[in-house]
Amino acid sequence: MKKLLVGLFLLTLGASCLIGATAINPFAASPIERDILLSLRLPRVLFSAVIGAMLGLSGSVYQLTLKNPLADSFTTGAASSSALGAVLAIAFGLPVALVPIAALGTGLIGLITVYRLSKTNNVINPVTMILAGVVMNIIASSVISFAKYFFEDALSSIVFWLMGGFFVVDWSKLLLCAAVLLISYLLFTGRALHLNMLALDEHSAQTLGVNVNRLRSIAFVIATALVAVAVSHTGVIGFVGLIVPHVARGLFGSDMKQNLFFSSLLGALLLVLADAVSRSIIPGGAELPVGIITALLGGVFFLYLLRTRRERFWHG
Amino acid sequence: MAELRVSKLHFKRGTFCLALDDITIVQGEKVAILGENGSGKSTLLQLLCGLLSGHGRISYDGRILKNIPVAERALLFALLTQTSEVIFPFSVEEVVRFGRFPHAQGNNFSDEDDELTEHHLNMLDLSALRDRHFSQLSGGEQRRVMLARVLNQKAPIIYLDEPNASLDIRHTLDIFELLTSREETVIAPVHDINLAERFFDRFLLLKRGTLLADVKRDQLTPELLTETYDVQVACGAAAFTFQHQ
Amino acid sequence: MSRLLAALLLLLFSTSSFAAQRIVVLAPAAADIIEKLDAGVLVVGKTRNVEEFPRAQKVGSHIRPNLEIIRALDPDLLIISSNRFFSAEMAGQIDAQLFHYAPDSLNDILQQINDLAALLERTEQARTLIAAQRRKLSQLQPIEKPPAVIYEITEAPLTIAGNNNILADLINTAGGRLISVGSRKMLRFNPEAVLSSQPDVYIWQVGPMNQHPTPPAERALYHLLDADFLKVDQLQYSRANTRSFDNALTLNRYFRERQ
Repeated sequence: MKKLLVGLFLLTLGASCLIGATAINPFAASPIERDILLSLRLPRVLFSAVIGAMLGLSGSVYQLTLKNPLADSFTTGAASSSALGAVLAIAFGLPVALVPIAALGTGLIGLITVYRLSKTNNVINPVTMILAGVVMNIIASSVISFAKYFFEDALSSIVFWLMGGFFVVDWSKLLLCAAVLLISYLLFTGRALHLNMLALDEHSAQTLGVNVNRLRSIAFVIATALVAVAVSHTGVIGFVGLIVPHVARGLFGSDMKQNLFFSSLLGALLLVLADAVSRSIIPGGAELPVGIITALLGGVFFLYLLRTRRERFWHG
Repeated sequence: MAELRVSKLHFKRGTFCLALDDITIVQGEKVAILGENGSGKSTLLQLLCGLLSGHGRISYDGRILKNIPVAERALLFALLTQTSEVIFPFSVEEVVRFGRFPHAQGNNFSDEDDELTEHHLNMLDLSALRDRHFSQLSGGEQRRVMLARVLNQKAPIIYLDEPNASLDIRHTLDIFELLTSREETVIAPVHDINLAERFFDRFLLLKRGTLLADVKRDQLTPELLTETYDVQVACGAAAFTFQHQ
Repeated sequence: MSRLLAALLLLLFSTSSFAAQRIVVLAPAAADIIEKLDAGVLVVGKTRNVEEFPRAQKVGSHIRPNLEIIRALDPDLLIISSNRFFSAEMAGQIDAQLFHYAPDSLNDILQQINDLAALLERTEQARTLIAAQRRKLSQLQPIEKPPAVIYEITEAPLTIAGNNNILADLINTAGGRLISVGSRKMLRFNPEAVLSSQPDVYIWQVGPMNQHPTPPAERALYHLLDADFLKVDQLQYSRANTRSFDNALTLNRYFRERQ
């Protein structure tokens, strides 16, 4: 099953390289087509895979460490606080290259705020963390709304940005994100068993030898950093982090040793597919924001799973 | 082997205060903690597990609890909490295997871990349920799974917070017989005085945060229990008594 | 007898023509035309990004006009660009005639000048104004090989002008050919489609919508693009008015010179 899925993923990667505004025959490509393939299409496909994996991985970790099947980049405030920086950068007309940096900046500020708010007596409380995240979300959204209201000329840019998409992709950004993904993935898989213990109540996990508080903090910080980096480059792409871990759990069990891998893989698969659709659904080179497609694809699939095998997602 | 020693323990939270002078529990003792609701039974358990920290000294084999890293504590004692939850669908077998976590090398369980898991699944009559999800089980079944996990941890001291909660009488007998026949030290708050008296051999009687008495079975008198619970306790034949067939 | 005649005249006058006296301009593009029709004195309200008519009161922005201020101005003519930001319900709140100013071609601009002038009783001025624009158009020179053109509205996310944009007709009139990508005013576009459509001219606007874009020639992903890059001022190009005709001339000259 694992091999099959990896094979399917690689096949999708290859196939989606050939889908886009211009159909490219890889065996008879003109120089310009070859260049489009190598310097635009390929990095973009790989980038969508990396971002999808980042979102899937962060969702998987969020849901377990925050003990909430609805935890994802939205409920923790990570997505909207990152979006805030980008929106302000667009509204003030900063050069395009500075947009991801601004997004990362506010994303990290949001992370620290939520983290400190949810820490009482040096103990991280998962429920407080979600509450703090939701509050962060509300505050960031209100500032974003203000920016949309006040900077009318930037309105369409802001709206398009918020819908998510792979705007400008080059190899250096791709390498940066891939490095962030790889490091976090290795950090998480090295602690997969520890993370499993977080499925138990806090006292049981602690007496099994897990420093619950420290593990939860580390996991939260890394997961949020993943989201901040992803959002800063692609805008807000929802539902991947929420749905993919549940699907992975339903198909391959809850064990984090499996779930970390499959959440990343399925996240990558979903986003590669969604981006291929967004690139090609409108003929002539126009694009549909990818966030719309992930929400639609993911939502419909989730509904199907919810009806057919709900008990495998979470109890209740 | 593990010897638990508590001295000058003092813990305060709000208006509640727990203070204990000296207790030493040696390997293999079966200790029941008796006391009314709010007398500090669970708090004492959490202090002994290092889940709460108070003043005073708790040591295992001479090592002070605070100085023992969390990972090493799991090799000294295991805890069955009063209520247990497992978020997300983990199978019975997976949850029982969690008990081997302190012994796992890196990310992998050894063959020995698998054998012990198998052993404890059988011991608690869970083999037939092994692939079911924990959350799909009844309260009593969940209790047995968690007990199997705790035993699977193979710690010399086992703390059980009301071990027979939500168990029927047959499984209660099974489990108390099982627990008290083993080598491990068992320390458990128990609500049912008759069961406690029948299976345990040492009793810590708590009242409003202080240790009223620390007695062996033959010293557990109705007068002492009357004082502990503020109800008239008499010794006599119960309406029903229970025995395995 | 004379009284009857006067009453008759009055009746005729009141039904035959409507002459606006108090105008509120919610379509910024129309401001230039109203001014050129010598009707600036009639404007009592305008949106905040209209530079003309210094004495008119500001009534909010064209996206969010303030209904209360508009009503207080008691206008008899409202000039709007579409019902998108000024809905039919909002219009129902104001007892004034509505004029939609949203030309989608240069000819349409002339037509709308005519219509607007009728409402303002400025037919004479309209005739000279339209004639002046036609003269500009007559100066256009044919371009032998119409260059393929892309017009960038914003850099990130990349959006370009579509066929419904006045810019499409402007570029076609000037002798170019806007790369045809669907019938919207602006659309999200794929950078690789820019490359594969191989435009000859890449126009990028700078203005409030695209404040500090990276010059396209410096963008890594366009290093393959064999196109001439032309920078234009957004405020000059995006509004459909008499300046559109000057812009057509400018572009025409540019296309000719690069041949």
